Amino acid sequence: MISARNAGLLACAHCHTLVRRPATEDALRCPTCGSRIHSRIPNSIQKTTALLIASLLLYIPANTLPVMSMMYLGAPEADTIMSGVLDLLEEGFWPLALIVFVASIVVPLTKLLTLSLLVVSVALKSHWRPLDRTRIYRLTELVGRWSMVDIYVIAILVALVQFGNLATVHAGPGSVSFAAVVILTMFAANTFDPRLIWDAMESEQ
Amino acid sequence: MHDQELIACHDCDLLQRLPDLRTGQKARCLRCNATLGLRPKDSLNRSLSLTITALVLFVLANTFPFLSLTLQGQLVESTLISGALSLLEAGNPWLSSLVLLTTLIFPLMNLCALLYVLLSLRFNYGAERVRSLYRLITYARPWAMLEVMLLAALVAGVKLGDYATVITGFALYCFIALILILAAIDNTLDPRLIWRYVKQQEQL
Ligand SMILES: [Zn+2]
Ligand SMILES: [Zn+2]
Repeated sequence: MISARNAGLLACAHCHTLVRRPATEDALRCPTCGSRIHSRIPNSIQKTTALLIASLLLYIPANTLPVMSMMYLGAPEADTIMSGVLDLLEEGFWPLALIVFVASIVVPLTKLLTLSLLVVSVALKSHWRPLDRTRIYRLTELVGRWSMVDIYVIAILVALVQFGNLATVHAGPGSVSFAAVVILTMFAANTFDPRLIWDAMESEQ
Repeated sequence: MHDQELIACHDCDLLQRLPDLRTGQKARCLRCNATLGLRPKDSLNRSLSLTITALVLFVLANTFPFLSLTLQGQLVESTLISGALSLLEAGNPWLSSLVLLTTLIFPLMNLCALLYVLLSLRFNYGAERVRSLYRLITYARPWAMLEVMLLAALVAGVKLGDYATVITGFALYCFIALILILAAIDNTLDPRLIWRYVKQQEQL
């Protein structure tokens, strides 16, 4: 069991081509696909941490400010992310309410938590369950996009509910923060390099 | 020959030999279980026909009404792009561009680029663009989120059902079919096929 790095090789993240590791990695390009290649994503931990802090700060307005306001027969009603989920539940569509609850509340929160834990574990060169940590990372990367569902719901409602004085829908100030949280956590997951988890396991051998 | 089969896992960097895959088999990393390669049946021809189908469905899904709403005799129709346009009119340029990019521009760009790449492989023509186009697809892929839009349509329909009558349009059914076809492309397309072609072209 030897990593490509320890064998003096490095692999392109996009097309898997193996290249002999030069003395300096700067400006090294993949001979097959032409993208920049690095043995590990440069400054992965710092970048991921910075993006996580930014998303954490935006997470507060994203969840406290209304993401959407609906005017129905003259009565305005503002929805936050959470009240939108509760509305679905009240209407009796609990399977859908559950999906939206997971996508818009559970996923962003657990993403922030698990990525922070992964960053800390890598910084401490932890040996704790590398396989499980890799699996958690893959799951985080996979489900992150589903949080965009709230933004799309707002877009559909704004387009459809245009009945002048009868009923209208507007995007609220929280929606931009929420979208930013989704995007920033996706970037954070992308800049985290899971190979760092396994580097700590090998440094001992 | 053996050098080509050597591969480093993208998730844990373990160096290993990729076994000769039989049709329908997947190779997984020995250490972290990541999928390292797949060998779908008749990958090129099937991916090509699926991509053409997806493009046709994409055009249909964007031309016909997606969802419509009636409230006290008034009818509002929307297409897929209406959301982004209405957000722009209402003064939300950021949200508008985000929706536009993730549900229209990136998915369309990816499909067009993929069509070019697959046609080029199939007919061995115009190979010099394959490299940059397929690289573009690998970069833009996470940002195309059509399947999330489908969930959003479901949620919006339920939310509005209380107040007004929601009418599902022809485009919605095309859209559902499109999502299924896109998932099928993921399982039919072997990326190594394309990179192998790029490598061959450069050695010529
Ligand atoms: Zn490459
Ligand atoms: Zn692995």
